Amino acid sequence: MLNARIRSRIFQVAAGIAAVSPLLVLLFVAGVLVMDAWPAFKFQGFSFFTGITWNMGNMYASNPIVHNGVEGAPGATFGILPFIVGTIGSSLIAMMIAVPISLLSAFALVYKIPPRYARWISSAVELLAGIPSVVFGLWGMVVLAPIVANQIGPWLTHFGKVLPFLAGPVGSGFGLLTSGIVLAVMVIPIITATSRDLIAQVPKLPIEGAQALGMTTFESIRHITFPMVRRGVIGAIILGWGRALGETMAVLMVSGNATNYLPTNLYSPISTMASTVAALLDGALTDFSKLSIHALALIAVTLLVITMITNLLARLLVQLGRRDVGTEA
Amino acid sequence: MTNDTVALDDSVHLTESELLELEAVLTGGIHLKKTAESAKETVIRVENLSAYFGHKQVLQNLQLEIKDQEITALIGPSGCGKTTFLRTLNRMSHTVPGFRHEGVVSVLGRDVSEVRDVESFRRAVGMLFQRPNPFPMSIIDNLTLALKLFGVSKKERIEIAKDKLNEVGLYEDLKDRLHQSPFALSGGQQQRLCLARALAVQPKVLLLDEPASALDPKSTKLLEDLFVRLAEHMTIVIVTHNLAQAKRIAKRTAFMEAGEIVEFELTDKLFYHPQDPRTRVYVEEQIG
Repeated sequence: MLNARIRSRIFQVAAGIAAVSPLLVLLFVAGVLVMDAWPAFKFQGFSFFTGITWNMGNMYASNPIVHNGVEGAPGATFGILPFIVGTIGSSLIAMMIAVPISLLSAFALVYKIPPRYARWISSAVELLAGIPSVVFGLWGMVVLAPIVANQIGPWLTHFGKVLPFLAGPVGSGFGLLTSGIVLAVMVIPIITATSRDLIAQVPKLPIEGAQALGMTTFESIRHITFPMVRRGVIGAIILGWGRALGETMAVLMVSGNATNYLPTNLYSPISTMASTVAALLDGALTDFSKLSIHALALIAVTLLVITMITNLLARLLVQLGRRDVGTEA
Repeated sequence: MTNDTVALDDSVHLTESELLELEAVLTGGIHLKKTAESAKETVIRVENLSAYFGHKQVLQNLQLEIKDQEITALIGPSGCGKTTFLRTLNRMSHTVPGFRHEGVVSVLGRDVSEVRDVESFRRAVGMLFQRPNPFPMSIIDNLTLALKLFGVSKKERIEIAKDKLNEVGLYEDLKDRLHQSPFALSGGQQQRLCLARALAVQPKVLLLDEPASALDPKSTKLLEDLFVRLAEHMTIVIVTHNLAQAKRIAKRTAFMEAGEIVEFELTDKLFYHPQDPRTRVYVEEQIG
């Protein structure tokens, strides 16, 4: 039998290790990735981020070209701007669809829907969050893409005169809009469930106070509940956005896998960074110069950095929002 | 306003002997008051009120008339339905899923079951809750938010806010921190802020749900004095567990038990000459 002092000591050490492990894992992953990506950056330079041509070169040749001291397959050039645009574009479309729907359903679940129905809807939401992404991808391919191509797309083109980005041609249905919608469906349960839990924690008393003053439900949500959960809700949105930025399989199945091509309208085929890494990894492994693998690692680093930047930006927004308590006079 | 009321407003500064004198004058005036009494309007009229949460009956056949410019207290053991009754008066009970009521509840001449514009109705019937519930915004915004939503101009609503803070005796303390959070205030100050907030929309009836239950004796006293002063021009209904409080401030008191009004009388009569044995038992037990 261990005495209490030793047990406490073991607990402290274990807790300490557990507490720093996320940071260590992050540093380790980032470190390995950066090291792996470095040759590609040396080879391509900053045009890696601004170029639109991605070509892994003739990987079966035996006469490597040397550029900036790094060996690559003949004809190799790596530009990932289309993937960056595809990733950010599809995730932004997803957020534009998902955020309002998620927040409305979260507020409705807490305030408007009778508890016995809300329970059922809540478990459905949680179930939705647990569906494997490949299932969403399949649904996107089989069901959604034709609808986008034949119904949603043609209807949206009517607004093309106001927003040229919405003008046709609509194309096959595989592309930016479909990716955005699939991502939205995947992100909605995350934002809904998280914000619902936050909203449910808001004390009832101030809301009753607002109602007793003659404010409508909307007014009390807008002025009382929302300010109390704003920070948390932004956190929930970031969580969802992170998921949308990094989603791989579902997007790969509906994006149209465009390379060397920047989207010209809402229906253009795209590729995202995550789906490109997955799609090209197999081919890259056959590159005798190994440079293609380094280039994919650099895509991964870029994705990591973009995710971190969005996180920091959102945190900054929260900070700014906190200063604006909204006092008058 | 008569000279009497002015004297009462300033009574804070009176010495004890002066107070006794004043009391003598007032008791002398009881004759006069009697005649004024019958002229007082009935503001809340309750007939055969029964209420249910789902299948559970929580109020049984209540009969009650509450008059203007009076404080009426509702006392009784926990779970006797007094808070439900109070919250029926401004339709707050109706926000609970499964709540329904039978009978007539008329407040300010409006039948609560027929109120369609709940928002403007609730503006006329203010409420103060068991615990202070300031909004998560600055002190001044707590007071002006509702006015802003009702379309009162900025200049006007800030004037009203300051006026009401003054009325509850907070203005001097808070005038330099109107833009700070109300959560740093003491519980008593927060509750007075909430009272000022309720008063800002000019209600004619004030419902108080154990408003001092979370406060210290000094804050309680301050609030009670305020209620007494407010009752000069409005109707106040207070739910309280504190029988001494009912005795101190309420003109009439209703004793409720198990969803029924057992006895509704002038406060003194209810406490010192209860007619119903249940009332007697409760009052004696509570006072000890």
